[in-house]
Amino acid sequence: MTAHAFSLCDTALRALPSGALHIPGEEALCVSDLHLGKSDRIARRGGGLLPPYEARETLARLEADILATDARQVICLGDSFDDLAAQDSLGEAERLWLARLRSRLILPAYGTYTGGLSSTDPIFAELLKRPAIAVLTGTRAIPTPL
Amino acid sequence: MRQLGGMTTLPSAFTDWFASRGWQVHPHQKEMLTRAGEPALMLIAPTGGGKTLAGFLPTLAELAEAPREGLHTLYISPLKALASDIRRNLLVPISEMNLPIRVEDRTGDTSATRKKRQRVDPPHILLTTPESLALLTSYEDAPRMFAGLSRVIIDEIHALAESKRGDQLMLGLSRLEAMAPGLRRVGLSATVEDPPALAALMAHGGAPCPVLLADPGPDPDIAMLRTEAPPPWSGGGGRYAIGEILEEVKRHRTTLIFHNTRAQAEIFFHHLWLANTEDLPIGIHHGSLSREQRDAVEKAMTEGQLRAVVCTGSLDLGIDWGDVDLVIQVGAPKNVKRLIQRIGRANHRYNAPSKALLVPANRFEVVECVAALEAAKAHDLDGDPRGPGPLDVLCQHILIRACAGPFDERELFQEVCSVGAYAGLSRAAFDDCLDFCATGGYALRAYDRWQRLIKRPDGLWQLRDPRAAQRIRMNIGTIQDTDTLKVRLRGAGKPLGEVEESFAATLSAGDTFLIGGQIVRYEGLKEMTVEVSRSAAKKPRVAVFQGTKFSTSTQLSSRILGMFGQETWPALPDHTAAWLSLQREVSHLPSRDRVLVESFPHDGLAHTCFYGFAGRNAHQTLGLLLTRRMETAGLNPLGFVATDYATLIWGLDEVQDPAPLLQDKGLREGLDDWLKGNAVMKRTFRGSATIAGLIERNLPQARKSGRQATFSSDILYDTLRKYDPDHLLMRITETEAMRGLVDFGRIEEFLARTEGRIDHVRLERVSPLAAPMLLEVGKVPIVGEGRERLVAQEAAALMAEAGLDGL
Repeated sequence: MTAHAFSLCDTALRALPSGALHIPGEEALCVSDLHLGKSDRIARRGGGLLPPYEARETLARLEADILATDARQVICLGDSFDDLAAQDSLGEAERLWLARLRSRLILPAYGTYTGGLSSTDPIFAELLKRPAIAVLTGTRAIPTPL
Repeated sequence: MRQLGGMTTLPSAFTDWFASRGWQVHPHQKEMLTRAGEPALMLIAPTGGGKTLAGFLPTLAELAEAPREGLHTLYISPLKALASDIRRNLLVPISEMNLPIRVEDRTGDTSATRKKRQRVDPPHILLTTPESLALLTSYEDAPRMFAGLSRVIIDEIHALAESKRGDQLMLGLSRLEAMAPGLRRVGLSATVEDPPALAALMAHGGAPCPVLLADPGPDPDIAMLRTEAPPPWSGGGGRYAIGEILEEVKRHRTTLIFHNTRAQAEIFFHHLWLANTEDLPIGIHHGSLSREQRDAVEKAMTEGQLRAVVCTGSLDLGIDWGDVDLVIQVGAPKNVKRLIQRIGRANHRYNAPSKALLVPANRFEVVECVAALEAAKAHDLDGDPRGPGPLDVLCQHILIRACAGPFDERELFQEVCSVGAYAGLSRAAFDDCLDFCATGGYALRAYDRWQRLIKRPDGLWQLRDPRAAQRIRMNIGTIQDTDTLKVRLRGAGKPLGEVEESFAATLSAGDTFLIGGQIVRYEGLKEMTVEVSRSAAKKPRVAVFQGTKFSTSTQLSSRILGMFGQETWPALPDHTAAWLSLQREVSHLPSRDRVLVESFPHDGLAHTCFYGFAGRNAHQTLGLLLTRRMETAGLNPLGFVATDYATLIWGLDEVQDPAPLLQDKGLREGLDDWLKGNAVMKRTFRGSATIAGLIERNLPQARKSGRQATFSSDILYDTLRKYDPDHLLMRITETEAMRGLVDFGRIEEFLARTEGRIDHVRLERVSPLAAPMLLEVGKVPIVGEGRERLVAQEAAALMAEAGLDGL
């Protein structure tokens, strides 16, 4: 894999050609904005019926990166799903695939005008290994069991 | 109800009006009246023959005799401008005869209020474009608007029939027929090679469509422009003839100077302007100019203020330009039919010969111009038979139909089959398209819940979400932008220049080409920009061809080959005849039933030239295929250049036997490998996917910019290729590419015509016929005088080597 190694705030990082960020010291892989279920959202809103293969393609690439880096945790930043309803669009195969992938941390969108995530969404039960916690944001960060 | 029996005589108000203007009714105009009751009729008339009035006379007469409410006649033209032009012209007889007829136009420029009112209270005569008609048929109230429709007039049908706009229009007619059974169809066309074939496209359900031929008028007066200097050995643009062209402009009232490409028109205009010491008012008109610039030129032109307009195909269609008395075609016409239609622009007065001059841009084009002149004199027009109706247009048609309300699939299938181009459509192919519209047509996974169309319990299809209608309407149309792309060094700012998108589409990563005087390596197409890196190569692998996207037609190429067979060439200027004689002496002249392959060393490299006369696109494809095969054979090819006539390849090792390289089977296999990853496919895919409604160009609120569209369509293509290679759109894409940019059909035609009869001529040095192609290799925008002199020196040396220095 031809990665670009660099260092940010004294942390050694590797930018992978796929667009993922590898943090070797933490055995972590960081990816942003998976947008799973995008084709489904467009179809739902009456747009074109795009090839509904982007979830499996995204997951295949993610899995390849995980295998190549031997990462023990995956951090998915930003919009992992295209919208809240998009989780339903995942086929059985993709769900199992997701469940097989490792521990993960899911972050809400940080921008002022961007929406948050609902931690009670059932998709998280499938995405996260037990025991999992949700950190409620606001004036203080409050960990709660999920 | 079918209207029967047109009028045999013109109402007296009309004859009086004609007489008051000192006009006579042309015989074909009378005939159109007499035969006004025919369900379908096509009129072929020269420009200036009162063709449009001939189309409208029956409507005007019928409405004068029996005034009525509602839409009587729909007029469809390819140009918005033509619609408003015609409206002004029609208003003259209507107001002067005080006829109770309301005429309105409706195009993309018409205000929303006016459009809304037209649907509630349509005029008697509505003038529109194919796209606006498609939109009209998508409304739920369309049946009410079109219920009384009696006639449809399609103007410039020959131009519409050449593109998918024509297919969309004919599908639209089948909808109109359903809403207004028995409506009469009239097509108006310029001269075409096969009138019955064109008529068959227009007829309903295989019914006959008689062709009415107006007196074509006297033969045009066409000649080649005599110039003091012979044309250069290569290149385009016709700069060498500027002096003589300017003299002709002075000698005539108004001259149209046609060029084959926008770039050439621009360069020519620039130099013409420098030479225009008398400050003659001369304008320029082409598709890349802004709407305002074009409007200004068109206005000045109609007002008779311009002595000449330098233009491209954007002026091919029939707005009345007033007193054009000379057409000059710079560069080989490539296609005899288009030449004749262009010449028709001169002298809009009926029964006066049009006058035209051809200016070959280089020595080879002299041969092509003479061949075209002979073909024009013999009325031997060219044209390729049309393929069956394209399926992407059908997909859009199904979506438009769904917008108008629930439909029955069997009825729609029958309607579609009543359209000439879709007469042979199989039910399976139709079902594929319907399935694509409804579910996306994917093999591995369906949109169970979010189908675009759903089948109701009563068996009718409808939009799942009625709001989808707005999005579908916003994306109606089949016109694709054929723009140029910026070329940029990867990671650097300033663009190096522009190449035509069609050229960029033929490149694969690693190919080197010339731009702005430097050799660059193609890296990829990113967001509508061609990304390149600097290359240390001494010569580019693919020379940027300067020319048109049109290939020389099969018929014209065949005529050129026929000319090569002559003993002598009295019709050719001496310099060109001597050139051909020399070629015959040192090598062969290519012929129709044999392939000529020449091998010669030049500049330390082995060169091989394959003369296929298969047109530019096919020779470009042949170059890509042959170099890959030569690579495999260890011949170390380094690059090639393609023209309309031949492919010239250079490399480290000599081609000993060209026969295996040209074997059909191997070429086809190579095609498959090369084609799949090539940007030609992605570009073709983008067009079809947009037409078929997979990609939306326009979205409510946020407008998606063109670059995002390109970006995502490439990803869609790659995704389909990986997960669903047999998807409908992938099949459509392959069919289109093979016919269009890849043009493999003409490679096959050339291989079939020569059946392996190869004349391999090995020479000590470059042959006279191949020499100009070597100059094409170095074709670059010239930077500075010093460079120009260097190029001139190189050209002179090359010509001397080929023995052409005296010619």
